[in-house]
Amino acid sequence: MVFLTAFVALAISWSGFVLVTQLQLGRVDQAKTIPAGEAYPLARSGQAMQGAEVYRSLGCVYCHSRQINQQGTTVEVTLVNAGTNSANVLGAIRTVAPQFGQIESLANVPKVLGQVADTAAADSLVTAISEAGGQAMVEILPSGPDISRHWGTRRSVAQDYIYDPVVQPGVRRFGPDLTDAGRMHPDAQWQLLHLYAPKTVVKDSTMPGHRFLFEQRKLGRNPTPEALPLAGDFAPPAGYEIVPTEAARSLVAYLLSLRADAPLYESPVTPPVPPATNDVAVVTK
Amino acid sequence: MKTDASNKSDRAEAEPTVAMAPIPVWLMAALLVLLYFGAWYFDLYGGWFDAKVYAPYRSIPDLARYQPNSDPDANFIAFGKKLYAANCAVCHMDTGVGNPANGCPPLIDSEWVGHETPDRMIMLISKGLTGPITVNGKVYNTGTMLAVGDSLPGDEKEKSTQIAAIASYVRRHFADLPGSVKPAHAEAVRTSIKDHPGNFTPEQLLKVP
Amino acid sequence: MTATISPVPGPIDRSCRLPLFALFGCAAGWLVLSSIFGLAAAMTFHNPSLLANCPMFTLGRAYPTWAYLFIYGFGVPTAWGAGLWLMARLGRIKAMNPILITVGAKLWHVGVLVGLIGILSGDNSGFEWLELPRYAAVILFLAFMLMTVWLFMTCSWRTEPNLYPSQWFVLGAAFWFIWIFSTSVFLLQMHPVRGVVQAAIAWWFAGNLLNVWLTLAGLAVTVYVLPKLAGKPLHSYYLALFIFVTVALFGSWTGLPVHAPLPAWMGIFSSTAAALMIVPALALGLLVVKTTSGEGQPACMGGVLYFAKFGAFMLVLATLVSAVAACPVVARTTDFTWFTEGQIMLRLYGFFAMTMFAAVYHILPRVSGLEISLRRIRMHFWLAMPGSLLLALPLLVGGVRQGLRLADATVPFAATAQAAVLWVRISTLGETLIALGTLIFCVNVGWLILTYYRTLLKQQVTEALALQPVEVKS
Repeated sequence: MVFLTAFVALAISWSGFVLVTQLQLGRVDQAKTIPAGEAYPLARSGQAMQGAEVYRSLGCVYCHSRQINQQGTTVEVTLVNAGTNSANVLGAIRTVAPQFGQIESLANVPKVLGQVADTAAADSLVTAISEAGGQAMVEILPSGPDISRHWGTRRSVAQDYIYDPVVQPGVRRFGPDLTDAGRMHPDAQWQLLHLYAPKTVVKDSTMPGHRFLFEQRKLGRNPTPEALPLAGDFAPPAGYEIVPTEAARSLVAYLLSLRADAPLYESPVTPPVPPATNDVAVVTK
Repeated sequence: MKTDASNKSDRAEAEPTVAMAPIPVWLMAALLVLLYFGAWYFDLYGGWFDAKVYAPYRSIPDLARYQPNSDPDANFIAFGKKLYAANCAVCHMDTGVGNPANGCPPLIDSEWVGHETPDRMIMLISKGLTGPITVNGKVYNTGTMLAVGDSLPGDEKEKSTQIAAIASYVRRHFADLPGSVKPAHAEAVRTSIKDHPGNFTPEQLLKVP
Repeated sequence: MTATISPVPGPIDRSCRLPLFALFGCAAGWLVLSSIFGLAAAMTFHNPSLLANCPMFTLGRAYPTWAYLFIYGFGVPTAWGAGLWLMARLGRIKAMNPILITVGAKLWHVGVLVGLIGILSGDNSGFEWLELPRYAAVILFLAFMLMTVWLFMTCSWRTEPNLYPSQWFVLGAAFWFIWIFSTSVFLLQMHPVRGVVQAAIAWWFAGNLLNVWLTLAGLAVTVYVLPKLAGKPLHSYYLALFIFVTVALFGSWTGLPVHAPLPAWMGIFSSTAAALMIVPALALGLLVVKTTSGEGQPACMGGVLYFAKFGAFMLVLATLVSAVAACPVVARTTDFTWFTEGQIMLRLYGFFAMTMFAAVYHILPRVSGLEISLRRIRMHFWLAMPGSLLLALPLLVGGVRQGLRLADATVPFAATAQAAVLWVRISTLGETLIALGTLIFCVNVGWLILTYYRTLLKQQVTEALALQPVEVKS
């Protein structure tokens, strides 16, 4: 009887959190970003996969989480171009979105008009503005402290983890979240210096240095090209140089591969504007 | 260290017994209240087991409220539709069937509209067209199509934007082509034909890729 | 004076002696080692560069080693040993096949050693509370099955047909461990599932291990020791059954953080379950108070009862704290901070370790016929009790301070860590007291086992000497 209770209780929870989870999320595959339609996520390089092993083996997860929380989402409309007849555009805005009635002039574009309830409302406003000859854009902005700290652009979802050999979302933030480590610090040199002596690049860092990932070599005739540029308190003794080992390099490759800002259906976001490229076709006559 | 000879009786001690006091009612009440609140909370925020619903979203309809417009060009095309109605529909009709009696070719099933690149269309709208034109195997004795594009209001940049919008609408609506024509592209094309005198002829346009 | 082996232990107690010596002896040793690694991990927050050059003592290795040794080195063997003894005593039957159980116990400790070496050399699985590498997991699972088969046999051959509540708890705990351990090892290490499902299973395992297994295994001892030492019957059969059922039903859903990167229903389910755990916690508090209060104060005012009672109250406290912290509004602040640590420490050191100390101090004298001096048990209590409070409570306070700053994005990140530093340092003091306490525990257990064998040896030598003249004569 008692045994039966225990069996039933555990069986229910097992089917709930193990079986159903596997059925719901176990076969999640590459998805298409919205609206660009690119495949996400992309598989990691071999070196980055080795780095993931180093990450696990050193127990980085005991200080760093890799999951972004989100507390809300706002939809914001920005006027990009007021066109020739700005009175007309202003009229259109007031008709479609009376809540922006306090806007008096459309000078100084791009100008943030304000928040609307959802993307449908935003789209009708943008359509009205286009019809009046102006141009506007919609931005979907997730919010929350994690996002304000620039640790990520949106909440983390199952899709973000499918190519991790060992999934470690982590539950501690004794160090910052690493969801978007590759976007925050895309410079491999920065990452290596940070691993060797964190205080060289982050003054207040409480992270212990990981000097055992580096090799102290006697300086040969020519310095090794990948030796770390260290000075002051952190410099090795004269006549020596600090060279990252294979483990350090692959760990950095893994850290640089950490990026989870693709807009997905489950977690909509307007991606930050990429640098403008002027790819206008040259027309021959 | 002390041996335990003195405590013999303690070793053969009796096992504890158990009394049969009932469970207090308030405990059951607490359980029910918590269960009720749990169910209420789940109904509100739990997303009813949907694998796509993550906090802070509450349900699929809630999530749908924040989806970006899956067609980023929709607004631009809507703008083009309005311009088409004002400037083109007189001859080509709202439905794009044209007016063959007056030598005005249809836009539906037209290889000109369905052409891969929009450059010909941008040039044609900008400067107009003279001479008979073959559309879908049929010759239309067009007299002259006016230089609609050049006569649009605004400066060069605004003209390009409007022409791009019209071209986008026509391509999407009558030929089902994806995407839109970018204003910058229209502007570049217009810059390259800036010095062209008068209207284009179909032969001139066919040379353009 | 020489200690002689008391003839007192009955046949049932004697049958458990060998397995229990094997289980408790090594477990005490692992506990001391675990405390050392716990202190090494804490050092990172005093001076990050102190132990940084030795990979073994970096936080990322010392912390999993601490947790692993606590659960698998100390927790499982002591809880299992106590369970075996309770089964035998309450079922009025000798432990079945103690030799094989002892072999299983030894195998378990070999497995723990293998896992320890694996983790220290960087082979930890990467999943919390299941840090042990695959090869160690296989050894541990085999050892556990070897022991548990005989536990189940002992139960089914019992001569006392009526089950006492402790027996349900022991059976439940054994069953729970087999299920959650095999599922997690298989789906995380043998045949890893893909993506975030791994995290869900790891959290499910952690929740079941800490909130159900630990609770069942501990309460088996609590509901036995309390009425026994208080000299009164257990207050209510129904209340005990109610606790068992609710812990099994609700506890098994806990463990997933509400903001985890999983569909909303999972986090909400889990936090609701954690809130529902308030009910068994209150029921337990009631049961303990009613059982131990009032007349019939125990003749033996020893430390053992204190251990068990304190442990039970800490479980009530820990469960209430977790219930509050699982509430999404609170979790927003307390998740990712020291608060989580404090809550776990309350459960591990406040409840589980204390209850297991009570079990060991209660059982070992009974199976060996040797007494551990009350003075040393009391000394242990007065180190462990304030130690566990001093460890857990400052972490809770520091965690809230850290969380409030983390939730405010205008506070620089360095300041969020800084907000808790003082409190973390105070908690290290508590951890040191606990470490000293575990040292005394280890000495107590080791002394008892050594004395037992020394006396046994002496007795045999004496007997042999006594026999010799006879042999010579004949």
